[in-house]
Amino acid sequence: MKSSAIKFFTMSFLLLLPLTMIAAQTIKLDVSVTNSWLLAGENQKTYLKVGLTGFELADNQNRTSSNIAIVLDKSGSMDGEKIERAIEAAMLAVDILGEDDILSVITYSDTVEVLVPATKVSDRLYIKRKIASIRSDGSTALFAGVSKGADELEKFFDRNRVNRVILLSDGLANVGPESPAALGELGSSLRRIGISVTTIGLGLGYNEDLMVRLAQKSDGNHAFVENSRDLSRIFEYEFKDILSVVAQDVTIEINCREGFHPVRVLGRDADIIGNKVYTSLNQLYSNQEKYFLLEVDVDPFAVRESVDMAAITMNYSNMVTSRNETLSGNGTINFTRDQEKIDGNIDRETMVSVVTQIAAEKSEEALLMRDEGNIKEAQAVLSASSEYLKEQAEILNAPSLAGYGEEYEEDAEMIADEEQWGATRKKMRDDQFEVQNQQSY
Amino acid sequence: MKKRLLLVFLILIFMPVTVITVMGIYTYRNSLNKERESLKEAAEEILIVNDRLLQNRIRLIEDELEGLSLDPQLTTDEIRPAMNRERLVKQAFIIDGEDQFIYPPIKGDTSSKEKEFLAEAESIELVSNLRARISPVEKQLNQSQWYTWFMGDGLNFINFSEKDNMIYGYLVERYSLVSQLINVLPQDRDDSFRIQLTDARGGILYQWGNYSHGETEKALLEHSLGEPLGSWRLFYFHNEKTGTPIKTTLGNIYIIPVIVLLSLIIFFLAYYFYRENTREMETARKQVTFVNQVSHELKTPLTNIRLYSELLQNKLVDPKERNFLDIIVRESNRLGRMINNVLTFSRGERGELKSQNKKTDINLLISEILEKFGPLLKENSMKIIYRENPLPAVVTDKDMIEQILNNIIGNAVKYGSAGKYLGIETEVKKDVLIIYIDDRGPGIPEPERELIFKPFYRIDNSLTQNNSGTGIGLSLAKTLAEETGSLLKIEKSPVGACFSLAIPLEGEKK
Repeated sequence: MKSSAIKFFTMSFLLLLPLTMIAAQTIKLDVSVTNSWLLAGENQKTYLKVGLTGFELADNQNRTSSNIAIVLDKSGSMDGEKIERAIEAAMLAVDILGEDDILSVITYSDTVEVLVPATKVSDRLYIKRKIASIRSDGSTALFAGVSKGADELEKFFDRNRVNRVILLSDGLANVGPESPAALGELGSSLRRIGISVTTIGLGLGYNEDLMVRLAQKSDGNHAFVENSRDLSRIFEYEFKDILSVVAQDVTIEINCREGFHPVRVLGRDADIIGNKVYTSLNQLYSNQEKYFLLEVDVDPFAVRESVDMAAITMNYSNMVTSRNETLSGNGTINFTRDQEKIDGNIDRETMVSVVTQIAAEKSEEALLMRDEGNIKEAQAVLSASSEYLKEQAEILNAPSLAGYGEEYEEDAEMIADEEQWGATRKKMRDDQFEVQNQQSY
Repeated sequence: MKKRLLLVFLILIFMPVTVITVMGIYTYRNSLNKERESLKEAAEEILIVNDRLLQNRIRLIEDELEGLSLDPQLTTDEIRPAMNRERLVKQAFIIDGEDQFIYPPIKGDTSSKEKEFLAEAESIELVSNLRARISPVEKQLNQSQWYTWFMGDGLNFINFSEKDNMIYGYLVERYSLVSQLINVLPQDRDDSFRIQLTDARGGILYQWGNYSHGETEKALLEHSLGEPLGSWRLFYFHNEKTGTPIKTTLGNIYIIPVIVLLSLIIFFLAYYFYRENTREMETARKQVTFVNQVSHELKTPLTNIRLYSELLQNKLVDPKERNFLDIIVRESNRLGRMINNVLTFSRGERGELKSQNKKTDINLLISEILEKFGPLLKENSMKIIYRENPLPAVVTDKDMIEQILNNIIGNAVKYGSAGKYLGIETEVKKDVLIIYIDDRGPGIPEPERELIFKPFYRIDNSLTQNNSGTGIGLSLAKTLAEETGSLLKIEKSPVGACFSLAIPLEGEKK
């Protein structure tokens, strides 16, 4: 995605800025509603946004230690430039990590091998020599690779570290469990103990559904790297992310007040039980916003101001202070019969998020249609989304939406190209994931 | 003759070689089987060890689940977040004494995941199934139990226990369980084997060992895991190309060279004997060939000697001088017979013997022969007993019969002169005319009676030592007898040797 590069550069620029003032080092919790004024006396729908932004880390501050397992696919298809670039990227990781970080390297083909068991990154040469010895051959025991990777993380498991598996694969899992659902289950069980899996799909041979699902369920990142030359760059982004984790083990409870009914959370997993919504994140990164958009059904209300809509409670573990902290917030809403007031008080930023998420949902829909061979229908859906995005871009004065609109238009064209479908599908899944998880790259 | 020897030679080689080879192969197979058995045993042990590793992990998982605070005293809102943090727990549940779910609450609000679970529980009659499985032993031991059932793409695992008529249970996150289980298994990269863990559907869950076996290759061993993983299996594939990792039986490696070596030894031994045997024969044959050529050259001068000697016999009157001449005639006859024998034998060897039948008066023939032998017999003081019977004329080759009789009588004089006796009798029996010739010499020992008809065979004893001979006389007689359709054999007799020649009356029927 073009915008991701821009985002990254702005971010790293910000990180490099000498900070003269250190803000209170707590997570920023923003609660907003798309429409702060709603029509009185009507059944209607609105979106509640819960935004979480990681605080800034001062450059003199000790960053969070990490516990990383790099899981490399060394199946036969990786032969040649791919494996060389993967080795290069893994070596880069060895350089980026500090002596206090823990690294393990696992390779898999027919079978799994823990090439470098979990160890502190003190003897870089030894680790690099091991990595350099990787040779490609055989098939793809992906499940076992991730499994053993997680197992290595558990050896030095510490909630005060960033515990992450970085999986690189270019092929279809063909030894061991291989369905997206199975890997998704593994991902969500790892997430529960605080392990995220970042999945990097290399080339056009991997199963993007599986890789995206694994990343999504475990709250890791996902990247589609078509050309192995970009691997090192992606590794760099990933490690910047990992090293900027400021909070972990984030749980959010949204308690809707009477008259407000939670329907669903856009693009993310959440448990909705009665009027309560439970969701979680494995981590928050410095200066990055992650958000939840809750679709809410609203009962008819009389004209009234400052109605309590929902109470939000958030728990997290602050990586700088190593303490568990709690934040709470409230969503309030006003009811009126004045349509002008309603139209004039749309929360622009929140609305942009909603439009982006809905467009991503449409993109998923179109992808399913395309999978079933309904190219025309899929194109229609994407074109409509594109129109919608452009229209909203103007209304909300949001150029980013126009950018998405252009992309969707491109996608609508590309999905008809049978030869490019493999690449297009991977790109679309990658884009959807980025939007839904507010990934930094 | 030569063919038979070759046959014997071949048998001599192939019998022992075959026996050794068969035994070798048997031993090899046997040791292979033994090796396979011991390999299987070792593989079984390995699989059992891994099964035990998995079982130990299952025990740990049971302990981990038991340690969770699934307490009916707690509220749903307290249980839920706690359970959501457990990686092994897909869904925890509590069933009360009335078989109602307390958790997840059947009455209160539930998540979509919980609703799904409750619906599935109802459809598989989970509660009654669990109740039926509770065994008093485990209840007393306060141990949890496993319940598994098929749903979707595989087995589902429930771990549960009963306390005060309440059931506490966990639907286990399947792939979290798989992941934890395979993490206890080795990651051996040995080339000599491949072990696979498969689920109930035969799908591979995990494998180790670097031997990449063929798709159709049968596993050396298959091992079913203990409960609750009863439908899972471990397969052991052995790489034949590498040595066994457990035990190396060296025996097999040497068995083939041993067979080859033994076969070679036998071959050379047999070849040696064959060569020795044929060399002797070759030498004798070469001698005969030589003698044959010489004999041809001798024939003309000999005939001349005999002719002129006989001419001279009529002219000499001095008895002393006549006596000398008799000796010359006698020895010329003997020489003539010898030359004749050699030439006939050679013709026989070349397959040129052909009988020419004509009416023959046997009585006359015998008389003529005895007349020729007269001086020789007289010299050896052998008494001739010949009873002449009236005999029918036979149609046969007269010259051949004469040569046969010459040889037999010649032998009788040569070897049996000590008996001072030569008996000749004739007899007509059915359609044959039999001539018996016996002497009272030392005779022929029983074991050698058949051998004397073989060419170049001479009984090796003191008697023959002083006698010269070509060793072809009797053999030739036998050949000639066969050629004329007669039967020459040695008869049993109390003293000396007795030969009989049976000549068909009607001539040879061919």
